[in-house]
Amino acid sequence: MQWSFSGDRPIYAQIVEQITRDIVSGGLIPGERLPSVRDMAREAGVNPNTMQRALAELEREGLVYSQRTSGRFITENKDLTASLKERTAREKTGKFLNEMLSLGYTAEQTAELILNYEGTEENE
Amino acid sequence: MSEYILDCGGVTKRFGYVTALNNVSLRLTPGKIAGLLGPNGSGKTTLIKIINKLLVPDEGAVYINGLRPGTETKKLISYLPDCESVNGNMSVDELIGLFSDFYADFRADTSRAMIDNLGIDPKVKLKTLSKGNREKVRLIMAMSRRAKLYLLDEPIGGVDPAARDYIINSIITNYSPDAAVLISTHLIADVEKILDEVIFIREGSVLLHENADALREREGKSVDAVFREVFRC
Amino acid sequence: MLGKLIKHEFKATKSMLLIFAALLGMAAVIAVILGINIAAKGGDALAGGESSDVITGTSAMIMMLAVLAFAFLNIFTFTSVFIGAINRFRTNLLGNEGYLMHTLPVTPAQHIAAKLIPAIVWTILGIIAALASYAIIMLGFIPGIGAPLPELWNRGIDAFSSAGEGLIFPGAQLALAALELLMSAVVALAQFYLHIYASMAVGYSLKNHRAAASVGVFIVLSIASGLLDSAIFTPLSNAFDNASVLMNLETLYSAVCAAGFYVIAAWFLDRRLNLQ
Repeated sequence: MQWSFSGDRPIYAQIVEQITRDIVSGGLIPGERLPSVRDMAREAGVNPNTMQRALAELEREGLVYSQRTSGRFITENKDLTASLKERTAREKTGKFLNEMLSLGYTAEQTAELILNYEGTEENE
Repeated sequence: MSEYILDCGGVTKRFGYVTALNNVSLRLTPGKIAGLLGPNGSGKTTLIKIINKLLVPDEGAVYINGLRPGTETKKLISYLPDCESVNGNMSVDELIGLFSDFYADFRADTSRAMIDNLGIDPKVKLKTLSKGNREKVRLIMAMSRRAKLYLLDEPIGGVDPAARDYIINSIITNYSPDAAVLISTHLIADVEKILDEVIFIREGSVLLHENADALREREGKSVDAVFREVFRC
Repeated sequence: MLGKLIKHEFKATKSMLLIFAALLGMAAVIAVILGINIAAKGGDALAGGESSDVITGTSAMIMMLAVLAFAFLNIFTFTSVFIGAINRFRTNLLGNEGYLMHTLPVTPAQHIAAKLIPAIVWTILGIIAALASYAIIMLGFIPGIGAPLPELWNRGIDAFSSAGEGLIFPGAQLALAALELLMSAVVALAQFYLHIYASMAVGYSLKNHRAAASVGVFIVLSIASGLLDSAIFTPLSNAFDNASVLMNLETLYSAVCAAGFYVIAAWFLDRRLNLQ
């Protein structure tokens, strides 16, 4: 996992977001076993208590579950991940549309842009 | 009193006409990594020296695991000072021998493994090593103890970014829910992610002592940003 | 803990042995040079030839240089031992190394003992090395190993045996004399070193001018112990006439002074430590 934090928001919240994002994007596979809290904290460069708090939050949301002796695992609940994916997609779309609107594009114009999209000039 | 690993109450220390610490109170519970953050001359090192019994306070009391500073508390504290505290004529092996002899909680094999990983020859004299490597050796010694209280005075000052990562990494790896870590530094941006709690100290007085994430939530800024505001010259 | 401290202290100061070895080595070289010179002149100096026959010319030059070098090496040895011990206390307990040493689970009293005992041992070994080096040089006066040496030995032993008269068996006289000598040497050295340690412990509790302050404290303590000495022993020496009892009392006084310096040093290291 690639971790990246901005200092101006609670770290534990950012950890929750990034793990959620990885689950949704498929970077973390359903049923995958997570490393120990200490290892994850070390990878992310954060305090183990903070990592613990984030994982507890993810457990509460049902995205992660723990088995006492074997550790923590990503949920295998496909409905949950699917609805999460959809919600994230909706949020991103909404954000994108707002940006396009502030540029002066309508929703239809934006849709056409998307359908005809073949990459930016930088890619050619 | 013993639920706190460190309990400083009303600590005051004067040097002539200068008051280095003014009625400082500070309590740490086990399993916490706290940052003692302040500019140079704010009293951080003085406080740490008092906890180590390298200085005695004029007023107030300090308890480590319920004990007053002395030979018994020195067994519980792992201290990394801000200076070259080891004689350059010693070799790493001799240093490991010293720590093994005096600290029952010192894990020699762990230290050897870490020294080995750095590619340092344990038989050569410390003065032949680079300054960065010498500092890492001292850090490894401090981190190879199973202490109750770790006092790290400016552990990342003056080292390159890779070394900084190494040090932060060691602190996280060494984490124990039974111990408390107090990191004293003025370089906040590099360490703030590993801190549970932050303590701001200025001119001998504690300005705040708060959970790091709570501070971020409250201020909407990084600890470093808040620090810069508070300590703006 | 004290044993471990002393062990580490000896390890850290073992370079003293190199200096002693150099001294003995130099003495051996001089002995050889002497032996060669004397053999060349066909006789040995102590057996009673005229000293002016024995060595002349370039061999005299070599002799002079060798003796000069030896004198320097002697001075160097003793200076090294004293300065080494004093400096060791300063750098290890009052300098940056103090951050490591004073956070070991050891009391200041133990730290002082761990510095004092090796200092005394090295000093006594230094004296023995010096005596041995003279003995080695004596060997040089003999073209082959032989005559004058036993004579010197015998004269030395006579001197010792007269010191312990009235004891039960002959060997005891020598042993007792040596023991008394050793004990007063140890007490005197302990007083000497503790005087310096106490001065430094006090001087370095200040923020500035620490070395100068140490010298000042040294002088004050010298004067104080000197005055006390006169105060006690001037009337005492008028009352008593027995020299050996007075000497023992003086040694006792030295021991008390040493103890006093120890307490001062320990208190200042415990309550007034000021590492910078």
